[in-house]
Amino acid sequence: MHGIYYYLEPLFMVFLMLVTTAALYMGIFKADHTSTSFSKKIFSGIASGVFSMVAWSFLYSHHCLGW
Amino acid sequence: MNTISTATYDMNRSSIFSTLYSLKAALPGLLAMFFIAIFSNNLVGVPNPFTLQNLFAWLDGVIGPLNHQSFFQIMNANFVWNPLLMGLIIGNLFGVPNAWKRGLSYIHLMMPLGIIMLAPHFMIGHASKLGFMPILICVAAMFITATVTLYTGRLLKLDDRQTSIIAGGLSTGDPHAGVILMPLIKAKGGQVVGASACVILFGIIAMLILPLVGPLVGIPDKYFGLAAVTTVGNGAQSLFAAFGQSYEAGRYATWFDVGRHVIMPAGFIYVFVVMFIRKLKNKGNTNVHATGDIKTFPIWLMVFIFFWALACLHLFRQPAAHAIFNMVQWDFSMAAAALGLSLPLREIAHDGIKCFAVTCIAGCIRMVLLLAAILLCVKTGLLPA
Repeated sequence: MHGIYYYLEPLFMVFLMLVTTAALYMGIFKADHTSTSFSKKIFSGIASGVFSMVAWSFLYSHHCLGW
Repeated sequence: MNTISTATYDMNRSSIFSTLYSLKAALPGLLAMFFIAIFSNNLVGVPNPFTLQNLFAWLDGVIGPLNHQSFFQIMNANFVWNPLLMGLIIGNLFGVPNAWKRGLSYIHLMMPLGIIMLAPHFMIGHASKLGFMPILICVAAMFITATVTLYTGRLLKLDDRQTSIIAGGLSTGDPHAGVILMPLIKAKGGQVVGASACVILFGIIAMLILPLVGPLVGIPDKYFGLAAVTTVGNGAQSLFAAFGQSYEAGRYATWFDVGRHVIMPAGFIYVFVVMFIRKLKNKGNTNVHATGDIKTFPIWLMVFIFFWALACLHLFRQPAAHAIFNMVQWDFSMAAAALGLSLPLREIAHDGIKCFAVTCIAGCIRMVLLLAAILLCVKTGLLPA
């Protein structure tokens, strides 16, 4: 990892985590509807974010460490 | 949009981007395309091993090589077909929510963008090693195939949009060239996938027939490689046919394949130009659908041709060309996912038999003409043994 990729790859990792969070938030928890309660939105946001981080950490770990 | 609503829209919009949907409206569809893309292909930057591409590669290992070729390569599995297949399965099994449709409409932006970025992939100079006659045969094969296919489609009264897609796929040898022609011809998604499937199917038939015909015609192994490249179909199918003849023919097919590859853009531009002129000459004819409401030569196609010319002059450095091709894979993966999602299976099967008949007739005429031409060139010494 060198040159511009030194910046692009971590940024892309953040992007992957964000889009996965958004997909889980809207697709699995369906928390984007206006009728959804505030507490459910907060819970769904945190749960989606945590799941996304765990999943991508696992994939990046496999990719970079080659286990 | 009527005059009043156009005026209101013009007053309210703040920038040229006002024509786009808001992020909130487009996000579900864009996310669907994105996730189908990253679970279909090994795209640069994504460390996801659970892809359809890897599954096919693993299955290829299980099946083993067929005449030195992978089964899924013969079936034309690539960065366009994989997401298309996955989108097709998801869309037809589970349906597509209305919330996705605005995002999926971004396919109309992504396709021209992908085609423009494809320009540095084709460097004509790479074919110069083949020599004048093989290049001439490759070029003639492409234009003759396209012309014969367009005439056959007209004779059999197949929809001109579908005929154009078959012409693009058969003449360039890559069935997915039809996807490139889609925004130019204004073809329906079902027509594109149906026509491309027919081209793949014909390629499989041709790759089995050619090694049987080869010994009867008496073309030497070296030029049987050239015949396989110009008469069969995609790269893997051509190599299957050539290796079916002999190892020598297969090695020469690998050598000659570049001649077919680098001139591909000329094939689909030719089909577009022919159909565009035909439409301009037949204004008011209800049977002429190809190129739809395109009134002038598309600017983005001029941009593509401009960049293709620059690429041929070697103005793109190779690392840049490779990096741009990675972006093409991203772009087409997402566009193909959207295409697959928005296609009911019955649309693909529409006019299927007629479409296949046009492909087979044009493909067989092409095969006979080229075998005769190559044999003649060998006998007269134009193609030295």
